[in-house]
Order: sequence, then C-alpha cells, then structure tokens
Amino acid sequence: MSHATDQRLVDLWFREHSARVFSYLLHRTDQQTAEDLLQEVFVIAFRKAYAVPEQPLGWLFATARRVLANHTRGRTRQQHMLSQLRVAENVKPVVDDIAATHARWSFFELLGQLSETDQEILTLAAWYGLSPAEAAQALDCRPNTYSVRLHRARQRLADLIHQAGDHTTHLPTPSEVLHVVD
Amino acid sequence: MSSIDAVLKGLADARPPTAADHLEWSQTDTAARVLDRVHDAIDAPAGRGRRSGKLVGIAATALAVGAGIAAFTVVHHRAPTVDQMVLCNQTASLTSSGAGIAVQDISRSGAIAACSKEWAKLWPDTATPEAFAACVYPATAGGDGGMVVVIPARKALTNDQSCIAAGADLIGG
Repeated sequence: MSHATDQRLVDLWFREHSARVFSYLLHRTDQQTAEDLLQEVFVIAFRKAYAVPEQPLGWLFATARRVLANHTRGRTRQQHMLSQLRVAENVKPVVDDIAATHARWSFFELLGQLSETDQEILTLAAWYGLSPAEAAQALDCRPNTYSVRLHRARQRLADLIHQAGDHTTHLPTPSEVLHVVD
Repeated sequence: MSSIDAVLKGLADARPPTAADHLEWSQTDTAARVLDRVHDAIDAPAGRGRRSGKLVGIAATALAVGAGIAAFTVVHHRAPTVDQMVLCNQTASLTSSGAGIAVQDISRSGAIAACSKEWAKLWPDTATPEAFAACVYPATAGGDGGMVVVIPARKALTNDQSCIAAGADLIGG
C-alpha cells in the first residue's frame, strides 16, 4: 500500500477508535504521557498497516498495552492500575451525587482486590466496549481462552461482592481521594 | 439481579470518566494535536526525525564483529519513531555529559533477549544488524522521560573509550 493510502487508513482508525484507546491510557497514566503513547500507537499502526486487521480495535489496544508496558518498564515501582486511577488528574468525581460516588468507590475497592490480570480482563469489555474477539486480541490470547478467563474473573468478582454483602468499609469522600478536573 | 448481572452493572458504574468520553473527542484540539504529531512522525525523512524540538538520533556506524571490533549505536527515542542508531558495545554504564542520558549495562542475556523481542515487535522493519540485540531503557538522567535504546554487540564486549566519546558527541554531549 502507498504512503498516502496508509496515512488515510491511520486517519480513519484514529477518528473511529482513538477516543477509546485514549481513555484506556488515561486510566493508567497522566494526560501528557497518554498523549505521547497514543501518538506512538498510531505511528506503529501506520508502520504495520499491512498487519492491522479490518476491525482494528483489538490490535490497537494490544499495541497500547505494549507501548504502555515499555514506557513503565524499568521504573522503580510498578503502579497498580487502580492506584493510578485513584490519583489520575483526569478522573472526575461525581460530586453532585455522593451516594452514587460512594457506591462506585465501594465497587472500585472490590475490583482492586482482584489481580491486575483480572482487572484488565473485566474492564476491557465493560469500560472500553471491546468485543470478546477484540479483547482476546488485545490480550494476545485465543477467544476461547479469553472467554474462560472472563467467566472466572467475573465469578471471582461476584464472590467478592457476595462476601462484602451490605457491609461497607469506610470510604474516603471524592474530595479526599480525587483531584477535581475543571 | 443475579450475581453476574450485579458484576456487570457494578463494573459499568465503577468506570471513572475521562477526558476522552464524548462522541466528538476525535474532533477536539487534543485529538488534533496528537494526530498532527502522528503525521509529523510518519512524514519524517528517513534517517532523521523530528520530536518536539529535541534531538532524535545519529547515523549508524559500521563494525567488524569477526575481528572483535565493534562500533556502538544509541538511539535517543521519545517519539514513536526510532530514527537513527549508533551501535554500542559497552558493558559499563555510560553517561552522556551533554544530553544527560544514562546508558545502563545491558549485558545480561535475559534482558537482552526480552528487549530484542519487544524491539522486533514494535519496529520489525528497522534495520538491525544480525549481530546485535536491542534493549530499551528509560533515560534516568536529564529527567525528560525519554527512552534510550542501546544495541550491544554480542561479542567483544569491552569498553571502547573512543566510542564513548563519539557517542557523546553524536547525541549532543
């Protein structure tokens, strides 16, 4: 394919999918780094346009995971995804609905008790709308494997919810935990 | 509500919103800025590259592995494009006095194998000499958060002061 054709493809992919990939990155790092990594994802997409499938979202997420891993490799402390979310400057608290916010954070606490792998498996579909095939591609596994892992992860989370029952631990208020974004 | 339904609802509700969460995000100034940078990177002339006004790389040097002579290549990479390389056979830590980039010891075979795999995934069409493995390390000095790619020779892993000096010159030291 020609340079111009590939660039048009990249523009199309960017228009259709960059928001979701950017959200994924924003949930894991600061805005500037997320922008840098988003750029990197789509430059790689240009360079490997021959290998990008017709439905590119899974491939883009797989690439985003790799560039993010490369970015964090070698750093002294591997930050837990949810701890990143806790302090992400781009996370907006729902300050006008305290009950909803507390419910969200209750669930968030439970999610944080799972392994990072389980969190990734659960959120790819629930937060970014990836289909099972796309999520499998993002995780570099077969669709059947992804389905099994997803089922197990959901079950583990359901077990935590059941154990938590109606008991809620003290949760910080949104203003205590989150940075409000203008 | 079944337990799995509760899981699915809770997951969806627990999602923290982000700046990209609206239908027209790709039309925003942020998106336009990122796309411009993508275009800049893919339109960059071969062998050079532009990255936010900073130096990116240096021309590759030749080497003769059989005779135990090696040149070294260092790529200062922050933007997605890896542009130019200076091959490195250093086993000791180097510091570029000018650019403030620390090149770490990458003689550990496990690290080299892992990094060359990542290199091959990301930049398969980059001309990497067969005799070298590639590693990617974050730049520690300087604080610009950039990445330094060091490609060591598999053989003749001895310090070469002339290469250090040449490398420092080449990357702005």
